[in-house]
Amino acid sequence: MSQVSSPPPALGLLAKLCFRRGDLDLDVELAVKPGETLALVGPNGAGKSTMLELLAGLTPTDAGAIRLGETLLDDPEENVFVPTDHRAVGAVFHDHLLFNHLSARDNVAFGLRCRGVRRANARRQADHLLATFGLASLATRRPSELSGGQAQRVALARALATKPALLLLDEPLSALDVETRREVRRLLGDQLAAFAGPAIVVTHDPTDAMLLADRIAVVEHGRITQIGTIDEIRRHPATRYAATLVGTNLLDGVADGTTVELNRGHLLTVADGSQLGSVRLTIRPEAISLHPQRPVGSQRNVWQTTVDVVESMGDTTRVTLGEPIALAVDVTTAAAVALSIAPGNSVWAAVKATEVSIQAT
Amino acid sequence: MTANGAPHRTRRRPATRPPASIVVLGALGAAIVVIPLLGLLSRTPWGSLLDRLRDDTVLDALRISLITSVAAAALATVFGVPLAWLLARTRFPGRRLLRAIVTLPMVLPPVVGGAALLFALGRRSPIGRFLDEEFGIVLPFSITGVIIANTFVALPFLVVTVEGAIAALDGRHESAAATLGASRLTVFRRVVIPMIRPSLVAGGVLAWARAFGEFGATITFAGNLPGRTQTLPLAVFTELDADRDTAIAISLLMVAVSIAVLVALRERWWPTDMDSGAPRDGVAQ
Amino acid sequence: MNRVGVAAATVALTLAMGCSSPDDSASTLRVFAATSLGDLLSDLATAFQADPGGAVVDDEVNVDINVAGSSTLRLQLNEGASADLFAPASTEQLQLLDVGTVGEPTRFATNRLVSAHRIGGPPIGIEQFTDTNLLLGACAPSVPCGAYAAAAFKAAGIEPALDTEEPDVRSLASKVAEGELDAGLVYATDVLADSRLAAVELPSSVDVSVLDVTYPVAQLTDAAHPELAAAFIEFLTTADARSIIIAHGFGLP
Repeated sequence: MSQVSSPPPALGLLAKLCFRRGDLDLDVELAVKPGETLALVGPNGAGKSTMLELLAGLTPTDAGAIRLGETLLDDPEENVFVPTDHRAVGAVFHDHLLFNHLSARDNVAFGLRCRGVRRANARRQADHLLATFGLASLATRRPSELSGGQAQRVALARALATKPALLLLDEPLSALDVETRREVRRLLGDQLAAFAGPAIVVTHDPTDAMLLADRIAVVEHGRITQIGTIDEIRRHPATRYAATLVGTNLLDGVADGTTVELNRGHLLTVADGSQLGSVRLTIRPEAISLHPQRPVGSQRNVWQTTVDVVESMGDTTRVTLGEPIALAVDVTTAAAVALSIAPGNSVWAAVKATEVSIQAT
Repeated sequence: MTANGAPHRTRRRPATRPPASIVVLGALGAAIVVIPLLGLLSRTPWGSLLDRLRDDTVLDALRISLITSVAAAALATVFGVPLAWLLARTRFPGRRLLRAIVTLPMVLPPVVGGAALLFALGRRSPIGRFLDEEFGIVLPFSITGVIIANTFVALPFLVVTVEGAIAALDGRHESAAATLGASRLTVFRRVVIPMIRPSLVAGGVLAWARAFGEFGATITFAGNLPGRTQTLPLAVFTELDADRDTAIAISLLMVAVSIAVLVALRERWWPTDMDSGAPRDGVAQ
Repeated sequence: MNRVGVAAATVALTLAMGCSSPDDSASTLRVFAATSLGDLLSDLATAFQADPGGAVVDDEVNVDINVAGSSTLRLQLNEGASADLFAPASTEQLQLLDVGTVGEPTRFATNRLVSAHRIGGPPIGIEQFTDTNLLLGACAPSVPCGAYAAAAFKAAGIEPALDTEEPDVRSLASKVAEGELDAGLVYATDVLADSRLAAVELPSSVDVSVLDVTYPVAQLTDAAHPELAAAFIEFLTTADARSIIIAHGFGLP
């Protein structure tokens, strides 16, 4: 390939992936626009990393097709398969995978050298990129001499140096400690925002998904169970996992007018009485209030319950309630202290009918 | 507590000292090598040593030994590394059999190996006849023959060492290189080879050392002619009958060369965690 | 006993077993013999064991023949190997022996040097040993056969163009027999012993008196079975022994 001069025109990704390996049975469809970042979240073994593997061309898909802009990358029916080294793909892995025998600069220059750029030129471009990331002083260091965060940033520079048309990131922040994660996430966010092509980030951290991605795809057992913005998912999580992900409460029940009977027999009142039959309710953790005695007020849903778990997270405390309805409740830490909330204690919970979202299942 | 209830008395010693049994056995292991060496040194004719070593026979043998052993190590590397790759990474019918056959020269008595080379490449073999008639090349009794015999015995050492190293790679760095646009050959040259460098060097040194000390296959296949095919080990064997002091002098020369090579390489190319100065403090590897 | 103790005991036991001397109740005569005498002495030993002649022997007689290059054997004996008789391919080897011998060595067989070639191939005489197009071999000068060859070349006034100097005559003979070498200077008995070989005698112009290929045998002073050794030497001069010697292609002194 000739020298890289200007960035390629932004190309969107269109992929249908059908793939079986071991216990995994993958069947997903993706469409990512140029400049858009899609996050793949899901439990271990769901198939997220496999999806990246297929998109990168490390393994051919069994059925389906992968199209990047106008280029067909993989189509078993048409007998087309573009191998990895011919796809304009940039990849970042959770353990950076920098080449230990090369300096940071030569790592970043590696992709350019593979494409025929002469060494001096490639090194110059690499230095420039490292400087943009604030890593100029690390150019001559070996990967073993870099901290985790530094190495991951160099890995990002290495992936971007070849100006790829598609960016794939597999848990880029999972190996970093909290402080470093925040810094690297900031850099990552800036770069993803500036990246002209489609980008896919695999992560199990909802915060990462929220801050880095435009849309989120929830992958469970080889299928995409939900895809949308974080708000869309939060408002209407399609599965328990999605609900846990966005930290909201999900309950199943049977509706009859404005009354919903939950699986355990407890009744909740909702504002929207149009649903009939099987329904799914969502209640945001912040929408539930806790009281030492039966509260007086306009809330239509009031019940006595016990505290299971109390987790203090800075200014917010998450309280997990037990019988009769298992719910996650977010209160201010000050309020938690005032209420002397502790596991095993009895407490009264209240939530307005209007705060209980309902959708048919 | 001991059996009769008295408290154990333990001497205080740092936890990093090795256990006594290991020290004893390890020392015996060292003795197995050191004692014969001391025997050699005790019989060395120190007075006439330099004169003996300056003899034409010895210098010829040294020249031939260095040329053939280095050439054999180089050939073993050029052919052995790709072979190791094929054995480690590809699947083909008969792979396990091929791996066993490749290690055969390590197990066969070298003289048997030399005889096999004669049967395969000697003047009366199809290959030998072809080379002789078409090109006038006769492999036995030539320095090329020495190199072939040396490569034959040295190759397995390199293949076995390198195959293990390649098999130990998890392939993820290679995938990363592919995403950056490296062709499979570039991945091999620019990623795999550097990553297995310690094993590559170790294998090369082993191959060289084996070739340097090779005797049985060489004398059977390439013969023994001073100035043309007589290597240092062959010279020792020949001189052992005629002039034992010269034989000992040559043996000492071989020991000196080997130690020099191993020590020199160990410092530069073969760092171990204990020797290298770079700190390994659990930082991103 | 802890594990290290068991390991050490095992090692010691193995070494002890290896060091133990062979069973001495049946008398075993140990003979160190040159390679070219291997087959001959084997047959002679068999005959001796069947009928040891007058003297000695209550038990069974075994003759243990250790065959190797003469100089190698001489080296081993000098370093302390134990044997009753030494039969090298030249008297020079006896002279180089540090361990003493009993009395004068007994010459019991002779041999002669010939130029051997593979049957079916062109015969090659010693004069052709200057041809660089041929693959030619002799023994290394440090072994008896090689010393005789050097003397023969000198007597013939030839500077040979050798391609190899083999460390022992058997390997030289087999390379010629296999066709890897065109010719080699070996003993007449080696040609007789290998049906693939044919010989070209040294020309009468070569003064063979300089080549005294005579085989001496001597009893070593530290022999374990001196009477048996003397009896064997005695046997070598009997008519039975002589017929075996001639049958193997050797000459009589």
